[in-house]
Amino acid sequence: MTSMRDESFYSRTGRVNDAIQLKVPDRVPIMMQFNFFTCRHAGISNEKAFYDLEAWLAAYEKTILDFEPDLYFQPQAAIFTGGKVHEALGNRQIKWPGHGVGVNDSFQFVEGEYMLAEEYDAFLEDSSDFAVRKYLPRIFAALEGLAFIPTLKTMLAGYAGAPALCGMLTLPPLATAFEALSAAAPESMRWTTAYMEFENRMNEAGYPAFAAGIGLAPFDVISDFLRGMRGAMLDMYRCPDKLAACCEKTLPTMLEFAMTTAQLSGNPRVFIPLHRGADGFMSNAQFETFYWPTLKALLLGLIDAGLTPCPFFEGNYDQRLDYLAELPRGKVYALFDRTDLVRAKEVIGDTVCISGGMPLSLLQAGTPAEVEEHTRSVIETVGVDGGFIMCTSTVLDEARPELVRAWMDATLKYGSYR
Amino acid sequence: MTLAVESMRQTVEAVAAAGLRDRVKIMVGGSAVDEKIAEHVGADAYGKDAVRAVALAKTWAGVG
Repeated sequence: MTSMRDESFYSRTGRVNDAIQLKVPDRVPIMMQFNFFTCRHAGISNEKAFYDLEAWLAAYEKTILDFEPDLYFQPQAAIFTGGKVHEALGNRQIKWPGHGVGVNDSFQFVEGEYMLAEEYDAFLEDSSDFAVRKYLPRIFAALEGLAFIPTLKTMLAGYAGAPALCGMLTLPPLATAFEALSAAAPESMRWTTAYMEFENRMNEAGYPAFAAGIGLAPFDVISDFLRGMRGAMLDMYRCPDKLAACCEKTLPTMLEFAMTTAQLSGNPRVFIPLHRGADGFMSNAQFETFYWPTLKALLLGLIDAGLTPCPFFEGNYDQRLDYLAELPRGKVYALFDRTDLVRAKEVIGDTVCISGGMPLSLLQAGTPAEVEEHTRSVIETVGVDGGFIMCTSTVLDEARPELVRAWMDATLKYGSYR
Repeated sequence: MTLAVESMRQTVEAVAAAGLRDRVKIMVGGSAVDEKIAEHVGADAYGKDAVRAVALAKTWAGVG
């Protein structure tokens, strides 16, 4: 394999930036969504990674250095924080390796109706209050006691507010909840700090992270985290105005969240994984009403702040490409999963940087020759004239290392623009 | 983000090990898999969404 040890953080970032700005770089940049592939590659279980921060980051670092991507998917995307934190809080919203799923499986998100349809008004009235007193007790077993905390508005009761709150904290359920938070705090901070140090170390070694900031489409916040797929889909028919109002209310929260997480790191790219806007989940008319307005506003808001939104269009967006053509030119790094990229190149190739092209199935069940041929074909069609970053359709978790190697080699072999 | 192709392959193998493979039909579907994965895990068919799953089931049950 060609060695790229003389590459630097700046040469890789420059190549990526050229592609995002729809210029022609020296060669096709390659982004690798390593995720739990790192565990397979380094020979540790996914469960160990959740409980041994040092082993996890060593596995991640080894994989980055062995495969030398232009961008690597940040490890927080696979393991946001350690298993001990989830245990201390009694996290009910994910199952993680050894805790509800196999020791070598990925974590799984546990979707549910964590907000009832009749609670839209409470959410719209005061989303912070809803989050603390209704939502957290439902998704974290150890935080059930937060249901008994007085509304934080009572803190406006001048000199009496805080003393009254303190008294409430002696109630056993509330005391238990605060003890759980205190118990989880140092471990949570240890993971956060280690991730920041890891990113700095990789920067110095010449490897930029794909993104550090993260945001979600407002509709997905409602559908993924609050109402569930079933709830949000019914709400499009039963209470469309409230659903749309909730998306509007969530937009500034998400914008602030995404900007804060990005600005902490100095990395301008903000990852926005999209879930419910795909073809098959809603019609174009529903997309236009419920999904696109606040997603578009989120993307434009991040661009205005000097950031680069990186939406991941999971599933298929063949029906939606005309909407993406409304975005400003050369400002968005769009990752695709099952969308027809040859057509995407025609419709939005002069608007957004297109990333994707390698189906994960080929890196799981293909041959090196098939991988090389597919890579060549993608580069010669979608990759022509720049504006393209090679990537897999989704995370590499269960890919075979020799096929990932073949993919990288083929990208270098066919990806030169000079 | 939460893929489980290896688990699918192991599940199909477990069905076969239990001596049930020729008595059941197995389909995989959704965005995370495709025809290639259906073949890889030993399933009988792939469908891209729930509507396709119903169509496949009707064909298999002879009620299409």
